[in-house]
Amino acid sequence: MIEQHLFSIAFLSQVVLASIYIPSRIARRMSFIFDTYPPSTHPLLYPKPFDDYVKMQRGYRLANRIIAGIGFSVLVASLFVPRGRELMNGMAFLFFMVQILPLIWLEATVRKELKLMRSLNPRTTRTAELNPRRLFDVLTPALFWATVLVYLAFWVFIAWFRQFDYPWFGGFINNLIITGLNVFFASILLWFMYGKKLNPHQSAEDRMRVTRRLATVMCLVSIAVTLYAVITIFLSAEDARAFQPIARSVYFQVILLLSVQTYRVDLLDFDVYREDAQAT
Amino acid sequence: MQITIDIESSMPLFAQLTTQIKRAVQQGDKKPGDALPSIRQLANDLNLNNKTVAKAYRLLERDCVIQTRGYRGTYVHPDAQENSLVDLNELVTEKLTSAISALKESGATDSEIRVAFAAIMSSGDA
Repeated sequence: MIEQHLFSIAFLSQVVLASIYIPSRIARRMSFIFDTYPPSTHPLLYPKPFDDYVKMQRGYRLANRIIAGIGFSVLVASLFVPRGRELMNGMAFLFFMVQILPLIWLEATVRKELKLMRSLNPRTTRTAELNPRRLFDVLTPALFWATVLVYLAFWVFIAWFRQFDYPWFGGFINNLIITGLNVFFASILLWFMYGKKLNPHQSAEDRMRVTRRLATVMCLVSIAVTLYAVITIFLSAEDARAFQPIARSVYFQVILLLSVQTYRVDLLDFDVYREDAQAT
Repeated sequence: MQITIDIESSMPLFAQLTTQIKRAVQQGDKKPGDALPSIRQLANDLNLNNKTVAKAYRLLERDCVIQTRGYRGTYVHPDAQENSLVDLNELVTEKLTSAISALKESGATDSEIRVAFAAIMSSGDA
C-alpha cells in the first residue's frame, strides 16, 4: 500500500514538474526574449511575422495546461476507480511521453525557424574561429572521467550480477543499451562541435556556451541513466518491483530537469540579430 | 582569432583563406606550433565545401606555412613567419609578365600566346 501512496506523490510531482513548472519557465524565457529583443531592434531574430511567435508561445502554454488537466484527472480518478492505481503504474511512462510532446513540437519549430533564418540570411560574409575545438574545451575533465568511470563500473556490476542467474536478467544486453545511448550522445556532441552551424547569426562564443552546456547535460544524463539501470536491477532482485514505477517516475523527472537546464538567456549575444550587426 | 570570408568577393574563396591565415601568422596571432582547426571544422563553420578548405590548406602546406601531423591535426610551421612573406602568386605574375612582354616584342600575337600557353599547360610539359 505504501508504494501506491508513494507512486501517487511521484506522479503528482511528475505532472506539476513536466506540465506546469518547466513549461512556465520556458514560456517566461520566451516572454523575456520578446520583450527585451523585439522585432523593431532585432529583426534578424524573427524570420516570420512576430504574431506567429506569440501564437506559438500561446499554443505551447495551452497544450501543457490541457496535459496537466488530464494528469490531475487521471490521478483523482485512480483514487476512486477499483484497481485504478495499479492501472496508473503502467500509464506513468505513456503519460510522460505525452508530457514531452509539446517540448518536442517546440524543438521541431525552432529547427524550422533556423532553416528559414539560414535561407533569408542577407549577409555575404561568414566568420569562423581559427582555433580547433577539442573535447576538453566543452567538457571538464572531471565530469568526462566520472562519466567514463560510471560506464566502466556498470560493466563490472553486470559481470558480477550475472553469477546470480536470475531468469529475468538480460545480462550484457544492459551494457549494449547503455553503450548505444552513450554512442548516441557522443554523436550529438560531435555534431554540435564540428557540424554545420544551424543558426547563421550565432556568435562563436555563444556556440561554445551552448555546446558546453549540452556536453555537461549529456554526461549527467548518461550517469543518471546508468544509475537508474542499476536501481531497476536491484529492485527486481530484491523482489521490490512494486517500487519500479516510483523509481521510473522520479528518473523521468530527473532526466527532464537535467535536459532543460539550458544556458542563461541573458548571457547570450543578441546583438547579432540586429540589422547592422557584423557577420558571425 | 577569427577569419572572415566574403562569398561575393571576386577573390576566390581558397585565396581568401590562405591570405588571412598568412596574415594571422605575420601579425603573430598564430605562432609556430599553434594548432589550426580541422578542414571539416573550418568548412562547416564557414559553410564552405571541404574541398575549398582542403585546397587552401594544401597550398599553405606547400608554402611551408602550416604542417599536417597525421591524425594529430594541422599546426603552424616552425618557419611560418618568414615563409608567409613569400607570395608565389606574385612570382608567377612577374615571370609571366616578362615572358609575355618578350613574346610580344618578338611579334607574337595575343591569340598565338594564348593557344601556346593552353597547349603547354594541358600537355603537362610545363
